[in-house]
Amino acid sequence: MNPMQDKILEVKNLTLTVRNKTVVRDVSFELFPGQITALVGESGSGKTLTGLSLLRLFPNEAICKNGCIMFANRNIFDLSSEEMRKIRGNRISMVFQEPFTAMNPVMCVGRQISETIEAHQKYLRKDMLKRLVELVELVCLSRDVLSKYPHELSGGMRQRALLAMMIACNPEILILDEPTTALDVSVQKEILELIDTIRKQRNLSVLFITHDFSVVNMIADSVCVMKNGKIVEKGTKKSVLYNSQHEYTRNLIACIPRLGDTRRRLPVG
Amino acid sequence: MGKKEPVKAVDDVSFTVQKGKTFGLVGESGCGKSTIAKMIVGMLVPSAGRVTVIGDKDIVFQDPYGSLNPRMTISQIIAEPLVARSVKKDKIERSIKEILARVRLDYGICKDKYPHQFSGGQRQRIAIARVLIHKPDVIVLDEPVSSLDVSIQAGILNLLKDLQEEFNLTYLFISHDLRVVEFMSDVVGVMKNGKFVEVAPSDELYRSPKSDYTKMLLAVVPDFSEMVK
Repeated sequence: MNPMQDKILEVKNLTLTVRNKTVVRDVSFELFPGQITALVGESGSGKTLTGLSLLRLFPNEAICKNGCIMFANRNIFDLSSEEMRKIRGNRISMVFQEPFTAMNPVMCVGRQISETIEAHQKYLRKDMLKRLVELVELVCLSRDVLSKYPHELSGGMRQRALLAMMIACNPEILILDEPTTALDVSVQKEILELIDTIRKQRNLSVLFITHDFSVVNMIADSVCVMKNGKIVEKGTKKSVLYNSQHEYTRNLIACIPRLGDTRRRLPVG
Repeated sequence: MGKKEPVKAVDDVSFTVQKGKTFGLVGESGCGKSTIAKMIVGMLVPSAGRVTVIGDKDIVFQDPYGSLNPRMTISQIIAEPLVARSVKKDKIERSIKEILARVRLDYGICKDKYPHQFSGGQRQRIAIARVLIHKPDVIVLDEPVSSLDVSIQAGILNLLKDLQEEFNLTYLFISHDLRVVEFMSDVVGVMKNGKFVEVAPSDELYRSPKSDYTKMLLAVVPDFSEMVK
């Protein structure tokens, strides 16, 4: 991480409660342009809710009890709905885990991407087509996918199409919630490489939410480990993955079987 | 719509599994792994060839949400295989208690609850308990841990190994995760487009893979052996 570079977003002491249950506790971290920050934890650790709060998209019952999220010198919680709408999908966008449900099944891919663009920008019809082709080619899809429906695409292709949709407005921050969990390992590798290329090309700041430390190892620059709504450890990838000071992190890494593993049993935290 | 050629989901596959051992089946989505699983337990009939299973067989599915009847309590779900075999009521209850303890769930707390009241890992343990209660000789495990957190996964894998030792169970273990398959299996078959590209004892296949496809799969495994010593 380059400390000289200015942070693009800062989460400060964020605390969220849902029906009087605290699900995110005093969470603080920063995002930097061109950097991938991984938010790692098990189900229920609060990682997705933390990601959603960057877009102020948490469920109705959730209340922000404390803390703030600073983006472009403003606290996200102080913005009006109208101002928030201008940020979502435009300056901060999010790719969800399930590429099946994240897309509209009755709309072709091209229409879905243009819908995202039209929400924020004006384009002439012919320019729009050019932009759409540019976008799908950027994610290594052929232009025929524009006229296809989500069910005609494989899981990997859908995830690429979603990426195209989410970077359509040139956002500064991209949130990825378990983007490769549902994919085969060889496809997973392709998507991770694509994400890496895009962030370098566009100096994009990425918040990568996952439960899989081996994926973190492949892609992240810095890592926050969450447990029960709290960040228990954070730092550069090297310090957290290879020299963890925290037992919880070490256990989570140790319980994954490795190639050439000679252990008869796996440690259970 | 034009006429479609019938697809050969599984094409000329042969393998044997020894009693008390685990045969691992790896391959990417759509390669025919689950079709083999279904043929072994008799849910699908092969269009040619034969599956012979000596003894009783059962299957644990990937999705612990879809595989448990939402309107049945846990004790009803787990009792079903025994009810179907007309086992006496008091014996069934004893068996349920025993088997729930084995998968580390509390009988008193669980018996009258419904599947939606459990987490994914707990549900998978319930699905395993339902299969284990009638001690089938052969258990097909179709991606049994793929939807679970790594720590829950570790617990389930340990449990499966313990139970195999104790009851001399035979497993067909299906997964797309080569690390998990290596951890579990004695012999591994790598599938692609309905065919085996390589079948070999686990240590041999992982140490010196013969086919290019196996080599490619091993190369993309997100591994970090150097991370923890």
